[in-house]
Amino acid sequence: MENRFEHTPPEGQGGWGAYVTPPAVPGQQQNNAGATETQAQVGLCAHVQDLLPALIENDGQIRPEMATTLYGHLAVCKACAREFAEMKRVIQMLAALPPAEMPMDYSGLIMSRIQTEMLSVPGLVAPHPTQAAARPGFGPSVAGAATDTREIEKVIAVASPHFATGAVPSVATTTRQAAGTTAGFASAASVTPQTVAELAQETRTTMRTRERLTLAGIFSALLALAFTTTWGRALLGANWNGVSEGAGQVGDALRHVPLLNWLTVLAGAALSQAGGLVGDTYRSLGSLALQGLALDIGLCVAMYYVLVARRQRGQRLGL
Amino acid sequence: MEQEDAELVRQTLCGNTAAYNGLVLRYQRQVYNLAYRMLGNAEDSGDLVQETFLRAYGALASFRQDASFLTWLYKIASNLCIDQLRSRKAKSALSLDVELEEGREPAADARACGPEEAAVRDAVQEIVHHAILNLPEKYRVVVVMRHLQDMSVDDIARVLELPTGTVKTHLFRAREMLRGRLRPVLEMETDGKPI
Repeated sequence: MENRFEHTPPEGQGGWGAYVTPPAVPGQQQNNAGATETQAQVGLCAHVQDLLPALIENDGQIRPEMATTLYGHLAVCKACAREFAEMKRVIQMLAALPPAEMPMDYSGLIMSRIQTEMLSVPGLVAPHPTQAAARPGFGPSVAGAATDTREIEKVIAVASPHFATGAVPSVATTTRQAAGTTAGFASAASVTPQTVAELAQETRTTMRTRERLTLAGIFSALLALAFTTTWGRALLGANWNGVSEGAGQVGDALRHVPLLNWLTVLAGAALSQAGGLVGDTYRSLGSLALQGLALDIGLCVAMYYVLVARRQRGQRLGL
Repeated sequence: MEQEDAELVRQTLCGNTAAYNGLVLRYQRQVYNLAYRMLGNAEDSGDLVQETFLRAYGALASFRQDASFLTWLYKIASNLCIDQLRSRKAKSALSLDVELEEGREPAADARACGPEEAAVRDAVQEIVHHAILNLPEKYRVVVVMRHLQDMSVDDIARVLELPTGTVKTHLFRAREMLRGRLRPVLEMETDGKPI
């Protein structure tokens, strides 16, 4: 352990007593007037106390002659001496803390986790190209990828994303999931230098895309059914007639409000008109079954790309 | 020591995992100590030791040996500790007191002195341990590294990627905070009561 207290006073000569007549500290004013002297003393103590941490740390900022001067002041100033003693005592208390006893030897556990979570997943971690090449299952492209340390760090970071939240065991789960989704990839003789984590992410994204495409297809089929069958058209028409009538009734009701009279007339007319227009439009579309079906599918595909695909892209970028 | 570490690192990179086991055996205690003083309980500290060595293994190729292997490990461990503490702060689910109850440090050896004296010393050490854990994380990490792990200010600055002056300032403020929190103990000592 390094000696942090190199600047020690000569204890053999009476400790602090050796400095009973300290040399002047820089900034110290020799003044006999009582009040001025007290003020100067306060300023001097503040100056000395600023230097005490450096004196304790012995960090080279304090030259030997300055150290002598400081110890001289400490010998005659009780306040500064107490300050210094407390600082030293705090450091002694810290240094006196015993090393915490490990509840177990972690080496076996660590090596086992390295074996199961890292070495058993080809492509996940290869500390060095030579190791990658030496182990079966590593193609040359993986070995090349392993030389990219940023790639390795990224994989490790991805493989252990939950540590910060305290869920350490999920590291194993994540890695196993990644290994499972890339089982085919692992057995291939020539593999691409993509990381397992990226592949797992891609797989998850693909699965989400499939699920959403299926849902979009079912939704499209239902809409097409509604547009192209007689009862579907009737249902839509009846509904839009109902909407139109409802809007008209709302307009009538609002017209009786005195202050909004003219406004409600306009609003009611607009609502009624809009309801009628939409109803007519849908009835026209319903009568043209094939056109309606094409429009419906087109609308669904457009909605899918605008809403779902954009969201997926955002998720992939971690937004 | 550093040459031995460099050789073990080289062998690990060549595929000899047993060499890495040597590094784990050599440094797990230091990493555990850092984690324990930073996190305050044994369970989290054990998890952090494992995670530190796993990450170090994965990133071993990026270890450039311009600092010692232990310093590099401390860098990984301290980052993980700070992440863990921030995550805890965000959750605020567990109170620090509960965690401290779970992870008391082992009692000091009572054979070195009388049982009464050992009990008082243990109590003081417990107070100091609590005082460290109550420091803000940026101050806690420098105090632990400087005064418990005995790292130099330059090494701490390198590990934490801070200017040396900032490390010194953090150390000074941390010690001042500790002095304030340990005031009752210091006053008892000054009054002549043995601690």
